[in-house]
Order: sequence, then C-alpha cells, then structure tokens
Amino acid sequence: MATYVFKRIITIVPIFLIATLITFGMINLSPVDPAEAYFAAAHIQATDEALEQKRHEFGLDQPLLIQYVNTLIKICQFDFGISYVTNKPVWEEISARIPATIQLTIGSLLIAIFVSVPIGFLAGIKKNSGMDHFSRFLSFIGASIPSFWLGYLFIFFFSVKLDLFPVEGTGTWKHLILPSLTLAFPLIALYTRLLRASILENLQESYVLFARTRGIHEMAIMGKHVLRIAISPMITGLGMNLGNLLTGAIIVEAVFSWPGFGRYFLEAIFNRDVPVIQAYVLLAAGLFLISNLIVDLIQMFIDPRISRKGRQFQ
Amino acid sequence: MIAKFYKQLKSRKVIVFCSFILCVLFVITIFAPWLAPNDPIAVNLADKLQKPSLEYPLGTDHLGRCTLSRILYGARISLGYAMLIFISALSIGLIIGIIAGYKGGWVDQLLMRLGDGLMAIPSLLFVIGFVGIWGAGLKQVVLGLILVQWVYYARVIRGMVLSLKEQNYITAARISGSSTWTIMKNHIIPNVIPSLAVMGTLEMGWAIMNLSSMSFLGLGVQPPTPEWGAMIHEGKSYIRTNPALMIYPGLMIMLVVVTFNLLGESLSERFGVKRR
Repeated sequence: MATYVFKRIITIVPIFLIATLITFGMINLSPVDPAEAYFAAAHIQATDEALEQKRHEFGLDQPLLIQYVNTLIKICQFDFGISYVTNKPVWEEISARIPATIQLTIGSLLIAIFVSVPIGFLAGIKKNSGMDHFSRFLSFIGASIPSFWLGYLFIFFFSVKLDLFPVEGTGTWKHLILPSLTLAFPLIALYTRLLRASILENLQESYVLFARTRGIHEMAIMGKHVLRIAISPMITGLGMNLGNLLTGAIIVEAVFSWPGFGRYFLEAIFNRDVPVIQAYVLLAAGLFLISNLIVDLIQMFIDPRISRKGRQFQ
Repeated sequence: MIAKFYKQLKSRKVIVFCSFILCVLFVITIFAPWLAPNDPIAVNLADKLQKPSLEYPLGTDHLGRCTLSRILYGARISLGYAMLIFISALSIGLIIGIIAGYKGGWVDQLLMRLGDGLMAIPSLLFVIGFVGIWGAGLKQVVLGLILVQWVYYARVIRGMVLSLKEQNYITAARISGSSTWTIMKNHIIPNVIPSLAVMGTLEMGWAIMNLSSMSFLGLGVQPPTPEWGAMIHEGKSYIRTNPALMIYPGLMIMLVVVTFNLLGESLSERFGVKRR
C-alpha cells in the first residue's frame, strides 16, 4: 500500500510539468509582449528604451529554455512575479483572496452533499417513485441551467422580491447562502445522478441478495451496506469537479461581487496582468491534481481493492 | 439503412419532439432578419426600457433596442458558433484520429498523450486561461473551445481506425473477401455514427452554454452584438425595475441547452452509447 501511495504521488510531477509547459507555451506564443502589457496595465506611455529595459528585467532576452527553467524554479518557491497593476507580489495578492473563495467552495460542497445524498439515495432505492422522477428532473435542470442566470434568478426572487438575503457582498452567513447555492446547483445535479446510478448498480450485487436471504432488515441493508459502497463514485466526482468548482467560482463571484480568487483573476484578464493569469492557471492545475490525489487516497482507504487493482496494472 | 434509421427515430417521441424544437430554432437562425420586428442594434433612447407593446413585443432595453429582435439575432450567434465549434472539432479530431490510429507507434503515443494532458485540465478552466492570455474576444473563445473539444472526437475516430486494423471480426470480413469500403460501410461506420451523434449533440449544448458564460463574463461576444449571455450581463443592472431583460435571454439559453441535452440523452439511450 505504501508503494502505491508513493507511486501515485510521483505521477503528479510529470503532469504538473506538462501543465507548466502548456502555460509557458501559451504565454510565449501569444501576440502579447509582457513588457508592453506591463506599461499598458500601469497606464504609462513607454519609450523603446524603457521597453527594452523591462524585457531585460523580465529575462525575455534569454533563450526560451533558460526562461522556462527560471520560471519553474520561481514557481517552486511560490514566486509568481509581481502584478503589473498593483506592483505587489502576485502570491501576496492571491493569498489574501483565497479564504473568501474557499469559504464559498466549502459552503457549496456542504449544500451539495446535504441535498444530493438523501435525494440520490431515496431515488436509487425506489426506482420510478416520485422521488426518483424528481431526482431525474433535478439533475437534468441542474446540468442545463447557466449558473450566472440562476444566480440572478435567486437574487431576483430571494433578494428583490422576498428580501430574505442581501444582494451582494460578504460579512454574515446570509451573504454566503445564495452564492453557495448557485455554485452548488450543478454539483447537486451531478451527485444525485451519480449516487442514484451507483445505488441501482449495487442493488444487483450478490451481497445484497445474500443479506436479504439472511433476513436483515431492508433499511439496514440499504443504509449500512449499499450506501457505504455506493457513495464511492461520488467521492471520485468530488475530486474531478474541483476544476469545475473553480471556474464556477469565477462566474458566481462575478454575479455576487464576491471578493475572491476568481474575481481577481477576471480583473487580471481585463488588465492583461500576465503574471496573475499565469499564477491562477498553474495554481488551479496544481489544486486540481492534489485534490484528485487526496480523493484517490481516501478511496483507497474506503475500498482497499483499488490499490490491489493498481498493483496488477503496474 | 436510412429507412431503418428513420423508423428507429420515429419510435421515440422525445427525439422527434427535440428535433422539432431544434428545427424551429434553426429556422429562426436562418430567417432572423425577416422575423425580427426591429433592428437589433439600433439605439433609440426615446424608447428605452419600454414595457411590451405592439411595436416591441418583449419591450426594450436600456438603449431602446428591441428585446425580441436581439433574442432572435442572438440565436444566430449561439447556434451558428456552436455549429462552427462542432464542425471544426470534428474535423480536427478526424484528421488527428486517423493519423494516430493509422501511424501508430510514437506518433500515436505523442498525439494521445497530448490529448490526455488536455483532458486532465478542466475544460472551461483551459478556455478561460486561454482567453486570459490571448485576450478577450469571440474568436479566442471559439478557438479555445475547439482546442479542448477535438480530443474526444480524435479518441473515438482513432478507435475506429484501430478496429479497422485489429478487430477479429474485421479481419474475418477481410479474409472472406470484403473490400475496405464494404467493411467501412457495414461494420465500422454504423459503430461510430451513434457515438459521434451523441457526442455532437451533447457538445452543442455544452458549447452554447460556455459561449454564453464567456460572453456574460465579458470575455466573449463584445457589445453591441446581440448575444444571450451578453444580454444578461447588460440586463442585470435593471433587475429591480425590468427583470424581463435578464429573464428572457436566460430562458432561451436554457431552452436550447435542455433540448440538446435531452436529445443527446435520448440518442445515447436509443443507441446504447455510454456518455462520457
């Protein structure tokens, strides 16, 4: 098991290297000159000499390979350069905004789990019941509704018409409800669907039949055995969806003026603040990889068959 | 073969219903200039924020532009570019899939690992990053969406080519004297068309949703071009006084995406294709 864990951690390194390479490649292939972008972001009319000096400062006159290695070394030290707009280190700016986004993400994950587990469970154990139809409807709508529009609908009904929640901003738990719910909606759709399918699949297993012949109470079989095993695809889904959650957060933060990581990134795009954009993409890729790793490890502890399967393939 | 295909389609009410809605939408797309009662970008400040009337069936926005006309023209952007993305991604996937499957060896490895790398990055995140680096605009968004989408087609088509080379029943058909074209027609194309149809349909919904999300963020379609996502962005400031400005375009996005998703799902059930 230890070797499996170790190997799984090692596999992250090349993937992250590829991600840095893609990001580096995109930046270098883009028609934007970082030196020009720097002066444009700072609203300074630059002379040719100033441009040349900035290029030298950014190390743009060095060979590409050396530039890439330098970037890598800096990334490993959490040095993402200096924002063109504020002239502060990018990491400082980002770490100040991460808590707000994490708050939002955790809020939406909690909502998603508390809503989708009961619905998916009830829908799965009673196929074609009212709950089942409701769950299918929910997962269908959730997958098809644009989240920014949903956010405004929530604002319209709950803030403007009913005056229950504030329209935007942060502070109290009331501010957190609507943005988290908006972000959670596609997740609720997905998890309900996953759990339902997984439970239906598990009901065909022989252990269910065996438990039934032993005369164990139906609710005990479902609650203790089926749910515990059936929940595993949901955990995988959790890791796989972190990326969607991050992009979802950009949209939700824009709708609710939530002062997080995503909105900062959006502002950076409009200001052509290249170091911030690069840092965001790399951090998102890193977060995505690490969350997938954690999910894999959690699953391995729940279901040890996975690590054995893994060993077979190696 | 076509008659049989049609019969299969007919047996499914949902498929027929969705196809009907899509046909209506495509008619709107093509005939928008004749259907729209007003010019979608003509500013008329005297008539701004009007309630629905005979002249403006769905009212007007903050610049006095006819909401209905803008929605009808918006269908052109959404459906038109989704089609463009679908066709481009399919073509790229076709070329790369054939090369990878046919050449095999390191070419195959390289192309498929590149694909794996692209699939490992959450797709919308890739598009936003791409637009972030290359600058906001419709062209960049469309290009980004194509770049993340071709991989799925390439994989299916590579599988098709490999099966041409390796599968036992294909070898059997070849030994028994079938020509390559017969094998393609009878064994391979019928196996690939369903998955491509399902993927294509679901992708249209996906592309329309993401195109409007990007326009909503201000990264895609730029004003004054009428686009549903951009219309919601403009309408949001009037959520207290004129919520209709934001509700109608959203309803349209949802209608189109629901239709494509429902169609894709029914097709995948019909053909027994697994969704990705």
